[in-house]
Amino acid sequence: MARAKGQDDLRGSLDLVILKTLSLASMHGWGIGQRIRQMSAGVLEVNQGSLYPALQRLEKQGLIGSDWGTTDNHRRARYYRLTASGRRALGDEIDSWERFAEGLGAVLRST
Amino acid sequence: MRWAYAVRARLRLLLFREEVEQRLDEEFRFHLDMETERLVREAGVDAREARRRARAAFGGVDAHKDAVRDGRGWAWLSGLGRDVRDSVRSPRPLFALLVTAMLGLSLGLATVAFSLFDAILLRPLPYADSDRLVRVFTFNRDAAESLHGASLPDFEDWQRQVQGLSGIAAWVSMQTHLAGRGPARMVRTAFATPQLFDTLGVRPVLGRTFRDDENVHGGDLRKVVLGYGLWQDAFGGSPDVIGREVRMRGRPHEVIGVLPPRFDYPDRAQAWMPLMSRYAITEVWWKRRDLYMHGVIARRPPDVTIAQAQADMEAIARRLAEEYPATNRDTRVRVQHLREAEVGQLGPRVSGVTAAAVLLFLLGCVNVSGLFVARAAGRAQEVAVRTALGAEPGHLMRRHVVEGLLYGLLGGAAGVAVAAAAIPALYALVPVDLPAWMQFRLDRRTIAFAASATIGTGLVIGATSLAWHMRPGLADALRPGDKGGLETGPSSRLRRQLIVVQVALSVALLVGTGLTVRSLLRLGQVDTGIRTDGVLVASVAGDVVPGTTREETIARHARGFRQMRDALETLPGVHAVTAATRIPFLNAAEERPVYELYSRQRDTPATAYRGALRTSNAMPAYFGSLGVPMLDGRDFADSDTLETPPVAIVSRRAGELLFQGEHPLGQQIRWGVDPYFWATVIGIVPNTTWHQADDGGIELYFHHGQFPAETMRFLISTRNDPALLATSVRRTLESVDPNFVVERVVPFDRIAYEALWQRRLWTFLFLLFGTVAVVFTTAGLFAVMSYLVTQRTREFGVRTALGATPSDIVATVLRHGAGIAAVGTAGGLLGALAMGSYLEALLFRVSRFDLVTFSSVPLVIGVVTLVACALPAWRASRVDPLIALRD
Repeated sequence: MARAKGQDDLRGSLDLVILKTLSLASMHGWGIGQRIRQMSAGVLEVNQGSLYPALQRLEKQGLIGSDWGTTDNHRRARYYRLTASGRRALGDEIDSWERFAEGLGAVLRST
Repeated sequence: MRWAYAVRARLRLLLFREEVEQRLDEEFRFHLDMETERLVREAGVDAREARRRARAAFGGVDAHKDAVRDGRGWAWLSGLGRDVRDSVRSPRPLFALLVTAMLGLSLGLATVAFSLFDAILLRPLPYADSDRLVRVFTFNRDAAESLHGASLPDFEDWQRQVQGLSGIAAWVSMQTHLAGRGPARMVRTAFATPQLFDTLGVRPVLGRTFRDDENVHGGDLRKVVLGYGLWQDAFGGSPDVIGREVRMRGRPHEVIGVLPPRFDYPDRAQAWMPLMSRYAITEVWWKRRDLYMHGVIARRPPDVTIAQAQADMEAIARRLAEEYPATNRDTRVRVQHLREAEVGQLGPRVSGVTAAAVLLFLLGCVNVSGLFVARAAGRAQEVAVRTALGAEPGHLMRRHVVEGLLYGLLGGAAGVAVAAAAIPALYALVPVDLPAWMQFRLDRRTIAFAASATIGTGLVIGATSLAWHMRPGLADALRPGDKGGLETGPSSRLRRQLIVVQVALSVALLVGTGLTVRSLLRLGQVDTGIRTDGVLVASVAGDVVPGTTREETIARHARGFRQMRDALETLPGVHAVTAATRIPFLNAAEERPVYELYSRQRDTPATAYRGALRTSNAMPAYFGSLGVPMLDGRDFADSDTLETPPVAIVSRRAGELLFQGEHPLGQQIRWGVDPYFWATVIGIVPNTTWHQADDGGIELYFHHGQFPAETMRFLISTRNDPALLATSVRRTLESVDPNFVVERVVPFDRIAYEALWQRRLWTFLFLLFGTVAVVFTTAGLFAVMSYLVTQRTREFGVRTALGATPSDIVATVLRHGAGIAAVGTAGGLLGALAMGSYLEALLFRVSRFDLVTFSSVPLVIGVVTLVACALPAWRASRVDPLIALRD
């Protein structure tokens, strides 16, 4: 499972980005990918191979829920939304991420 | 709340699997649609190209699904279910049948061999800490190969002095006349010292066993412990049997205990009586140090090795040799594990059969693996596509293992069926009663073995086909229709290697089988010097009337047996009647040298003979009835009686060995123990073989009228079928004296046939294994050659187009097959040579380098190769170049 190893490194941050995206609006899988790309100004390209397992994992953890809905073009799609615990987790994750980023920045800046 | 979502998600995924799968599909399809639309919109490519790019970006759909399933955590289980369903659904009846048959045969025969191996050599004997039980034997310094028991005085010295053994016990086994409960019968009785039961760790189910105070020389110890079977038979299993009386050898004995079912040690005993009882043995027995007739068993303490016990016993034997040089100077001792002592010659045979079964089992596995690889080659494209679509290697692996296990299970079920049919059939080839612990059957241990062998086989098969799939260069399989110009693919290489291994295994097995069967046949060719046809055998045992003297009993027996002979002679269809105490085949075992035998030339001192020895007390006309000619001198006559000088007839070898080159007639031999007699040799007969092979021993015959015995075997000659006489013979014998017990009445042919059961059993097994090996090898070669021909169809087409004749093509294919067979045969012969020394123990008058076997096995393989290659070669020669090249 050589491919899975690379994903592991990104897993934490991917989960965070997905939760953040869903905190703004409920969204289907493809839309989440597009949204991340837009929000990161094209820097973050989400591999679909990671996206759907991540969604599944988050749903299993109860951080997000899903419902089947209709798109603007009247197509059936699966919409993911943040649950209450997902929202709490997002807050915690953001805090710890910021602390981590600060710490990392401090390390990198030190001479 | 969070766990509620989690549980709901899991439950949904678990319970509504189909639906969930569909939704995953729908979600992915939606994703692809959206991405395609985006690409059309943003990159300006046409719809088809956009779709392609979207798919490429999305990657393997299977992999995503797998990944998502993994996310669910139940993936392994549900995937497993899918694999099982896929395997079961795949409609490959012929393949399944072949695999099941091959696995069934090899697993089944392996299970049969295991049941034998387990019963004889593996499972613990049914006694407490049985691996610490030992037998102690004596042997003469000059004849280390023939082990005997101990004399009672020696035994008692051992008992007092031994440090390295505990619970040492002695016994002597005899047939005992039992009366007073139903019809009189002969009972196998062990006269034993009290320690026997503790040493073996057996507790009575009723009553008690002997106490230490029931071990007194010459005591009036009329007690008997019944075996479970005898208790059921003679007392209907009645619980108030304790304290009741039963007549043993004419005297009332008190029943003091009943032993548990299936306990029959020693010598399949049905009853046990105190050894020291004055009714068991006479004074001579506990005084003479040269009556080596008592079996001795003991327990080795945990901290004492068998070598230490042996050393300890040797030290005692040396002391006794100094103290009693006349009797003990040449006496040596040997301590042996109980199993080793009891199993004897059966051991190496069972090992040999087991080894053959293991080879056969490997052969079957290799064969089946070959089939799987062949099929895998056929499925290479499917697998390549699945891999390219992103199926995880882990899942492919599981798929193969699951499939292997499923076929293993099928084969295992077939194997248990084969074993269930074969084991009773095999047991039916054993006409004698084996000790309870040796009896082999389809029991829990055997089934457990079959089950684990099944699972192991399944894993091996799965692993083999997996190994083939995991090899590099799989992508080649994606090119459709590419069957290659020459057979160079890794698949065919693996198959060729497998078939070479198969041929080698088969050759090794066939050589082993050939050598064994040839020596078994040699055993069958041994001229026993005895005619068995047209003779009916009736065994009759005399009663002992209490209060009569030994002389009166002897006279009564002699009179009774003579009356019986006279009565039998009047039966219509009978033309001769004679009798002897011991007859060939029935009493095949060498007689223990109970007595020292001395030969005495006139006026010279006696010399002792200590080699193998058989004796029999016969009536007149005994030799004539068995077709044994008198070489010199005369036969016994009715005029030889207790009042005339004792006479003896000896075998030619006895005459040569006992009298230092003097003419045997008129020489004297001492026979018997206090009182002993000097018997004069009046006749010489040829050496006869009493069982399978001549053991180099001697035979001595005494006159029944001068040395009467309790048991006689009547030999009734008839010109008709002896079996037809059985009923009237039995009725006649019983009418003479109802107190005599008439045991089996059976044709002598039958006795001789039964005596050779081991030879039949092993011949049958080895022939069976050899046949199956030939069939497996033919099938394997046929499969591989057919496959190779299919692979080379195009090549053959080209060759034909270029002018090759059909016979050229046939020759090519045959050459190919012959090459494979030759390499395998060479390997197999080398293997067979290597295991030759191991085989030696099984062989009789056949060299382990036996030229006939070593040259005929390659011949057999040659024929097998020809047969296996014939059809594929013919097909190859019929290849139509046009069709071959177009395809």
